Formats: sequence, structure tokens, C-alpha cells
Amino acid sequence: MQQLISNILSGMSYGSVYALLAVGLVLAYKTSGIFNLAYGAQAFVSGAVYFDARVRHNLPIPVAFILAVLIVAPLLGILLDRVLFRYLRTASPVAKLVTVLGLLVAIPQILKLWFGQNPQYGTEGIVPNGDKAYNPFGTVFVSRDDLATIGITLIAVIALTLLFRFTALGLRMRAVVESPRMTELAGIDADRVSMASWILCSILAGLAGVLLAPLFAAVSELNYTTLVVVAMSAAVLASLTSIPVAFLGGLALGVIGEVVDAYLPTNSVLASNLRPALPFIVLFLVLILSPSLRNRRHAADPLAGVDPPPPPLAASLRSPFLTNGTRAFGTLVGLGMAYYLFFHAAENWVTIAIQAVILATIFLSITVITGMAGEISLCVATFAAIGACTTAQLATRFGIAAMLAMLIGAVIAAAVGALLALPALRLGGIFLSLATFAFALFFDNVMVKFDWVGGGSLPEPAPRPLFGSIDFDKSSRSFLVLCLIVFVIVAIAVIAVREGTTGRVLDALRGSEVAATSIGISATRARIVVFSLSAAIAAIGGGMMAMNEKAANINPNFVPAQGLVFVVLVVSLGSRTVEGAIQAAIGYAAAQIVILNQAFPWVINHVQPWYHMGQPPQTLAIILLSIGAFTYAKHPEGVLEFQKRRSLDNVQRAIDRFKGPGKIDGPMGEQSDPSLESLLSPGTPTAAPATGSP
Amino acid sequence: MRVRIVAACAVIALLAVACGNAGSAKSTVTTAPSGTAGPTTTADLTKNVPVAAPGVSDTEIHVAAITTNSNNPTGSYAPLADGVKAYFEMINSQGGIYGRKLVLTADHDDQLGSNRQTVQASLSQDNAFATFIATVFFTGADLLATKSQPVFMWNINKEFNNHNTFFANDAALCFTCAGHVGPWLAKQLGATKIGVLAYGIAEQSTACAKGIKASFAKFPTAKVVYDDESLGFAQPLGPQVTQMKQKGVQFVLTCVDLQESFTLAKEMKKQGMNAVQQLPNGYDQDFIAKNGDLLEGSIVIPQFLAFEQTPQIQEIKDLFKWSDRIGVKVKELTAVGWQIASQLYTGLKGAGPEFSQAKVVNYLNTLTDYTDNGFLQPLDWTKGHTDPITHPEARGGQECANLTKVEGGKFVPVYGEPGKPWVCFKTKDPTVDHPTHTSFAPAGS
Repeated sequence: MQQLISNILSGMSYGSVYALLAVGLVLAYKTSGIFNLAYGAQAFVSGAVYFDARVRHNLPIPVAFILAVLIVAPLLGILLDRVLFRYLRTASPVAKLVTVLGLLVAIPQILKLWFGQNPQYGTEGIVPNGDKAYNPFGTVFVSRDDLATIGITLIAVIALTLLFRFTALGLRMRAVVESPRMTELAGIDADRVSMASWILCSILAGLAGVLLAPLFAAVSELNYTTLVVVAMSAAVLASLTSIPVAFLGGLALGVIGEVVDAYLPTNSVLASNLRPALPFIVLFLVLILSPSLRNRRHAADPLAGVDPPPPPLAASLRSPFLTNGTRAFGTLVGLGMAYYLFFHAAENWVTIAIQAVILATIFLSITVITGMAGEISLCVATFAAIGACTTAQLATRFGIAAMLAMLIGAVIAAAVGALLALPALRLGGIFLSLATFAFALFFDNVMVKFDWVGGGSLPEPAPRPLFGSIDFDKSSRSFLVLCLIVFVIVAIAVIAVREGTTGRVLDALRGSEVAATSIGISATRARIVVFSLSAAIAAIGGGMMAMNEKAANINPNFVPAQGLVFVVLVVSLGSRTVEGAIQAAIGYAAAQIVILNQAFPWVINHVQPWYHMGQPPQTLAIILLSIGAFTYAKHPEGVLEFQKRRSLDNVQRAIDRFKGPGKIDGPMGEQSDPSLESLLSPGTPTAAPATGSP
Repeated sequence: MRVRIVAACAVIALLAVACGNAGSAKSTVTTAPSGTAGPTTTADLTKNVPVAAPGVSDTEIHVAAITTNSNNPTGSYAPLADGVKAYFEMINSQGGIYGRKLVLTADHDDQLGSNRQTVQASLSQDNAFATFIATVFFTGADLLATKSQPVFMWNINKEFNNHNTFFANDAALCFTCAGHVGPWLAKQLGATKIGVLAYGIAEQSTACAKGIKASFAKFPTAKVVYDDESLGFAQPLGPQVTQMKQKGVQFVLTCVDLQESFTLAKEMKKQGMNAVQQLPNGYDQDFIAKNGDLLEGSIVIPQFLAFEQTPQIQEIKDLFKWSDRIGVKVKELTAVGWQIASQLYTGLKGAGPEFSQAKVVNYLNTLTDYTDNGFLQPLDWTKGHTDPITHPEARGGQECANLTKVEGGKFVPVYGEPGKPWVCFKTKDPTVDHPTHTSFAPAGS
């Protein structure tokens, strides 16, 4: 009994921090509609500032606390609100999610430029002699840090509940969430209310960051971002609406974790699999079983849905002349690159090209699920991992031809995708994304370690194929050709689906699900098809990656964090076209070498102060890539699609000027209305002409 | 439309079925091309003859380094390159070798996730004679092995095994092998009840725990009364410590990183558990200086001769002197960089003035007792590449360790004898009762 009490008390300490984070997530969602996946990163900022002030500069505890929690944390909240979040209030759930994913990646990297890359040990809590333990019942040990954490969390939650229930500010905050536009019609400054809520959320994150620091050995990004998954589970338990439930959920998860640790037999299959996966399993089960989440697909804002649908693809607005010109130019560039790669380029450029082509194949799965179905799946990398593992296992252990093994992997991934989609797809929006993320974490933490999945201590080898006399192992250029063939086939399939019945069904569902359903369209069926197709495509890419690297290197290629980067990159560049996937892949593959190994060495040599600080400036590349996500809210069609639209506009104007008045070359030929300007204005409802483009 | 999709599927299926698999992906053993190396005299070391080898000019020998600096959850591995530079500085101050200076011309950061791409870029761009590696993941190992380039690395990656062109500060690791040191140490500590902790999410950590249990099964100086090999990363350890305390554990051996060791120490202090902890990754002077009070009494076994062993050998004095000369602070990985750079130099010396990559590799592979002047326990490269789990006969004839204890924020050498810091056991000795104390430093060092 005493051990149980000890476990409960110990669990409450961690549970309090989970609870604080969960409450912050709910608060942010309630007041801004944003599920802040970057919340752990915000907590990391305050944890690092507290460490720096207290340990490195030896400032008194109260000063360090005020600096980290009451100055830096709210300032960060104000900054994020001013720069990002206030523009997201009426944005789509996808735009909100992509933006916070960008923050999740960028904030720790930016912070580490100052804080340092290494975990920092020896932090202190907010009470003197925090590690002094009390032993009230003989075998129950509670430290001063534990007591402070539990006490401060309780105070914070009670204060928040009172704020929401009994103050005008709380009422306004809730009103802004329901409908910012309606609230403004009532004379309330939604921007000011939004800022107040972000200040509050950031203080909570800061508080969690500082309280968490002494519970773990080191102030490390990984500790904070990992914990947020547990907090997510608690927040979802509260349906993202109830602060008390989120608080209790966080506490409960902390306690359950400790009790499971104590009572499950060590080294049992159950213990070794359940323990690391518990938060993800809870998150997934809550998402798919909670009745309150079933009907959340529709926005609560009564004025939602009055925004026009997204404009058609720029390519579909091109005149035939420009279309042909663009295609000719693209062909020339492609041939030029091919000539260089096959006859002149050094081996590493061929390697980069192979990686880019394979990544483009994987990214096509994002084109399908996000560009076509309008959903964000955060387990794209996991499906690629399934493809890689299946290819390697079947080819190496059973001697099956690698390409056939890859196809079997695609079928397995499609089946897993369908199974995942059945319960998860009814959620939609942020909840679907969370469910897919939980699945990704579960696969990575539990499944990959099985010998028959990940290969054990060394990744399972994967041979390259042999096609008649062509040995793809001997020449990387021949393997590049194979990758290109696979990519082209997949791309054709994606375009075919987009332009076929399924694509039109998905268009209809994105336009109005109710209307589409009323004419007999099965939303569930269409989404399951698309989810399975997306999974299969990712698996094909994963299989090709395994063959390329001659091993199923799940870690680091296909870990969940990598999947987040994939999504951020593709969606912010353009998820609606095959072209977007190609550009994202080239950017990702080339950035590693061109920017990091060539451009940044120049920077290192010329920006000596950074170098002497010992901070690798390479992290700037990751920061730049993730900051790209911030443009998504403004350009949901993707930055490249936006630029293409602008370029087309300019080129079309130049052509029009050259041809003179009355000789307009529009989408419908010379007789068409030259209202490209109006067509190019985002938000203008326009029927897409039949001429599509990849 | 359906026809097009079916056609696309058919093409893929055709490709797949028609394809076989190239080569055998499991045949990863690499051997260097043939080449002979003869003994080199001191006078030969200044002889400069034209050599046609990658990265070699008339005046310089270029090498590359790839380390995981950014995004590394265990901290940057950049100090490895510092150790290499320090060693090269010393050699170059003596005139270099064969009239050439040793130069680290490329220092790449694989950022954790881009090892293969970085290796490929290095192979294409750097034109390096050899590559130094300290990376969390080594997915580009096969690329380096295919080139038969000498590779010198910090031996933490299992990809090291079975590649005869790879050299390290230690021979191929055998996590699951039963060893003498743990049980002997338990006996020295007077501990009869052992606790074992390992991550369940990392296969090497679990294998390490199996090795500890096998050791105590083979040499039953103490009994493993608690073991948990299913820890998650950054996991609170309250229940584990409670149970270890209840079971009377006196000595805790772990296969976890420094962060988890630190968490364990905090929890042990909180619950008032008095047991000695062995830190598998704790040889960090700065860390211990700042946090030593919590880890007081813990045992740390460095991979090499501890800096604190007295009398300090000349190699360690040189490491500090030349690191200071290039303005870097000596850390664990700086020492490893120094040790593997020393192996490159040894290989070059052995290869002779008309050296080549193959000659360097072949010469090193003839060494059976390499110690870097006493800095390392003897390395036998005639069998040190072979995975001892699959080939038990490849294990060395003896097992050595030099031990330190955390006291007052410092590492204090323990269990050695004056001038004989290493404690060694014959691998085939069925007991732990016959340790021998020795030094591997050259006489007079």
C-alpha cells in the first residue's frame, strides 16, 4: 500500500507538468482554435532561460523564475501572436497545423543557436534545496521540488478556471473562439483578446518548462517535445474544451505511468511494449473512441464556410501558348539536367538525384492525402518505413525479388492505411492528424524494435534489383533510371486519380460534404481509398529508399519527426501538384549538400563570431526550411504555386502587351475574356477549366 | 482512367516480377586490396617520393572527418575532429611524414539524419586519403567500405564490425559476451546484490544488459536481483529505485546514457538508496566537476587510460599539450580523435614512403598488440574487426579495464597499482580471482 502511495505521489509530480501542458494546449485551442504542437518547444525556451539565469549566471531563484516565466514566456507569446497566430484565427485547420509544425521544428533550433547543442545538466528547481526529500510514511519519498510542482500547478489551474468562469476577459476569450467575426461585430477587439490568451498560454508553457527542468537530468529539447505527446493525450481526453478535465487527465496519466512502471513485471512483453507506447495508445484510443470528438468535423463558427473555395491551379489558367511554352521549357531543363547527371556529374550529385526522386515519390503521398483530400496525415514517414521494412525483410530473408517485395510492401501499407482510416477518418482536421501522429509514434517506439520489422541491432539489408543483365547495384546511374521510372508511373497514377472520379469526388467533398453526401457520394469510401493510396505510395518510396541505401534505415530516414518535416515542406511549397512534390524533394535533398556543405562553409569562414560561439550554423538550414511553413496561412496553395501564379500573370501581361489591344491569348483562346487578373486574385470563385496540369 | 491505372500497376508488377536481386546484401565483409608494407626506419619518414593516392600531394596528406554535431541528443561529437587536429599539429611540428603535412581538410556535420549523404559528398568532393568518423548513425558505412578507404572511427556503431578497412579505439564490440570486470568489481565493492537497467527501445542497450547478466551468471560473485531492460527514453525511475531498494541492491550497472544515469542518481538520493552506480558514459570532467556531488562514489570505466592515472603517460601529456596549442579543451572524444589519428600515422609509417591506402590498411591489419603507447588496451587487428558474437574465437585473449571513482567532483583512479593502472583477466579464466595489474606504456614512458 505504501508503495502505491509512493508511486501515486511520484506520478503526481510528473502528472502536474503534463497537466500544465495539457491545460495550456486546451486554453490555446479554446481561445484561438490552434492546437499548439509547438507548446513543448515554448516550454523548452523558458526551461533554457531559467537554466541560463540560475546556473550559468548564478542569479537568485526568484529573479531567474521571473525572467523565464513572467518576462520571456509572455514576450514569446506576444511575438507569436503578433507575427503568426492572429492571422490564423480564421485560417483552415490545415493552415493552423502546418504553421505550428513549422514552429515545432524552428523554435528549438533557433534557441539552440544561443543555448548550445548539448543537453545541459545540473539545473535547479524553484525552491531552495529542491532535492531534499521528505519521508512521511516510512517508504514514501516526496521532494520539495515535487511539492512545489504539485502546489503551483494546482494554483495555476484554479486561477484559470476562475478566469474563464467569472471574468469578462474569460468570457471574451471564449467568444473569440466561437466566432471572432461575430465577436468583433459585438464591439470586442478580438486581436487584444487573442493576445491576452497567448500571453496566458505562454506563461503556462513557461511554468511547465521551469518546473520540468529539475524533474529530468538535463535541459534538453527532446525531454520537452516528448512530454507534449502525453499532454496531448490529456488535452484530447478533455475534448480540447475542458480545462479541469485536461488537468485531471494529465495528472492521471502521470500517475498511471508510474503505477504501470511499478506493477507490470519487468522485462515482460507487456511491460517492454506497453510502457513506451502508453501515451500514444491512450492518445489513439481516446481519439477514436471519444463520442464527443465524432461530430467535430464542422467548424463551430457560424460564419465559417462563407469563405470562397481555393482558387484553381495556376497551370489550369494558362493559355495554350503558355502551357506549351512551359512544357517545352520544362522538357529542356529536364533533358539538360539528365545530360549533366548521366554524363558529367560527380557521383554525389547522382546520389542526391536518386534521393530527390525517391523523396518525390514519397511526397506524392502527401499530394494525395493533403492536396486532394485536404487532410493532414502525420504518418507518411511511417508508411514509407513499412515499405522499407517489408522490402528488406522479404528480399533478404525470403529471397523475393526486391521490386516485388516493394509492391507487397505497398499492399501491406495500403491495408494498414485502410485499417487506420476506418476509425480515424471520421475525425478529420486536427484530430485525424493527432491520430496519425500517435500511430507514427507507436510504430516507431514499439514495432520497429521487433527483429521481424526493423531488423534488430542492425537495419535489415535490402538488395538492389537485378533486371536481366542490368545490375542496379553496379551503377548508381542505372538505379537512378529505375527510380525515375517508378516515380513517373506513380505520378501518372496520382494525376489519373486527381482527374478521375475519385479526384472529383474529393473536390466535391472539400466544397461541401453535406451536398456531396446528399447526391449519394460516400465520403468514407472516398477517404479510405485516398488514405490507402497515399500509404501505398509512401511505401513504394520507402522500398526504393531501402534499395538505394541497401538497408532499411528507419532511423533516421523515417522517424516520426522526419515525417513532420516532410509534411511541412511539401505543404508549404505546394501540396496540390506533382510539381510541388518534385520541388520539395529537390529542395530537401539538395539543401543537405548545396546549402550545408557549400554555402555554409563560406558563411563559417566569413562569420567568425558564430563559429567561435561553437554553434554549428548548419541548423540555420533547418530553421529556414521550417520558417517556410509560416507562409502557408497566407498562401495555402503553397509558396511555389503562389509564385507561379504571379509569374504567369507577369508573363501573360507581357504577352498581351506584345500582341497589343484586342489580341488577348487567354485560356479559351483569343476570344476569351482577359480577366486573368480577376482569376489570379486568391479567393475569387472560379470554375477550373478542363486543361489540367501536373 | 481505370485503364491507365491498371496499366501503370501492370508495368510496376512486370518490373517487379522480372527483377531478381543484385548480389547478396548480407555479404558485407570488406577486405582491402592487396598491397605489401615493410618495416620503415626513422630515416625513411622524411623521404618524399611521388605517391598516387587520393588526397595525397607532394606536400600534404588530406583527410576528412564526419561527425554528428547538430541535433545530437547526446551532445556534439565535434571534439573528435579536435583530437585529430591536435595529433596532426604534433606530427606536423616534427616535419610531418614523408615530407608531407597531415591536414584535416574537411570537417562535416551529418546532422544526425544525413550520414549517408554526407559520406557520399565527402567521397566525391574531399579527395581524402582517410576518413575519421564519430556519428550516431553510420548509414554510409557500406559506401566507405566499397571504396576501401582507411576509416578511423569512434567505435559505437555496429556497422564497424566485419569491415577490415575500419579501425577504431576499440575492437569489435561484444555486448552480449560475458566478461570478468563487472563481477570482479562487484567483489571489490563487497556487493552481493546487483541491479541492471537498460533501455527497451534500443537494441544495443538491451544486449548490453544481457551481457551483464551473462557475466554474473558465469562469474557468480553477486546475484542480479533486479533487472529492467524495458526503460523508455528520459523515463522517471521512481518505481525502479523503490524496488531496487526493497531488494537490497548494492551495485547498479546500467546500459543507459548519461541523462538517465543522472536521473537514476537523483532518484536514488531522493529515496535514500545507498548503492554504487557504474556510469557507462560518464567520463566527462566538466560534467563531474559540476554534478559530482550527486554521483559521488560512482564507478566510471573509460575506453582508454584515464587522464588521472599517475604517473601520466607521455601520450596523454602530448594530448593535453597539443590540444592546448590549437586552443581546444580535452574531452573524452578529443582523446579518441587523438588515438585514431595516431593509428593513421602508425599505418603510414608501416606502409613506407611509397604508401597507399591499401598498404596502410594492410599494415594496420598485421598489428596484434597496438596500444597507442599505452593509451589503449592492446588491439589485435588480425581479428579485431570480426563480430565476436558470431565468431567467439575472434575475442581477444585478455580483457582489461582501468577504473576511476567519482570523488569530490573528480575522477580518482581506483583498483590499479602504482605504474600499473590496467586490471586484466585472461579471457578463458573461469574465475575472476586472478587479475593482473599492468601498464601498456613503453618502458620509460
